[in-house]
Amino acid sequence: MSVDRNITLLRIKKEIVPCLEYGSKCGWIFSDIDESDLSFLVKMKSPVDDEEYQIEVILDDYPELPPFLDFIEIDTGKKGTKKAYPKSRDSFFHPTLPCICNPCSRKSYKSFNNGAPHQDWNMIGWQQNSKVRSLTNLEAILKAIYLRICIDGEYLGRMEK
Amino acid sequence: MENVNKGQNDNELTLVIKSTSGNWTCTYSKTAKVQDVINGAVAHFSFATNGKYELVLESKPDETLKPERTLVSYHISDGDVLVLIDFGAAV
Repeated sequence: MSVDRNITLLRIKKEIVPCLEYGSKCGWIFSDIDESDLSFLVKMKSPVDDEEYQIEVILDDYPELPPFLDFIEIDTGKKGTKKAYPKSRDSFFHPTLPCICNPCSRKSYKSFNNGAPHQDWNMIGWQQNSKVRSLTNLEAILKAIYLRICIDGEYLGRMEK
Repeated sequence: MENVNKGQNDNELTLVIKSTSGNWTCTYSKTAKVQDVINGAVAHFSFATNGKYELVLESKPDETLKPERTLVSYHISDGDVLVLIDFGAAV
């Protein structure tokens, strides 16, 4: 790891505060931070169809590297399946892998995962990628994910039933 | 539509816009469109102008405000808190 885990942990604890505050208004349910692997889980329910999604956020080497974001099937615990993912009208929730296709998502980088869609991005300096816009912190990322499962017409249910 | 320096009258609303970059207190005409507020907030927070943003009432975070509608059509009141959210690029 190139970022001291204590530094990352402090960063997580700072960034999680506004997430908890906003999430309390949206019904998000957070796990405790797992300090062993610098991760946490958050559940969100779509007001469009009442489908519940669980997101795993792993933050080793954060913020030097973008968060690892993945969806987990709540009933089986299977990670990264199409059944775990929401479907969007655009490719934010990308069926390849699947993954969140944005520079804020480590899983979308080919340098991290050979099957990922983006070999044109570098994880180092991800906050400067023009495509990331303001999704450079946990609050903005979680708000964007939630927003995307709130808007009927943009959100199209589960990626796979 | 933005008119932060003028004394407030009955046709205006003072709003607090929250974003991940902080809070912004601003004044808009009641008949201003949601898109006007989005544009003003994006400029205020120096967010990328080529992005897509949504406004929600802090008290109803799962209901986005349609950009073409006016503030008054949502019965937004003086002092209401709105949250500006970056929709995120799909790339």
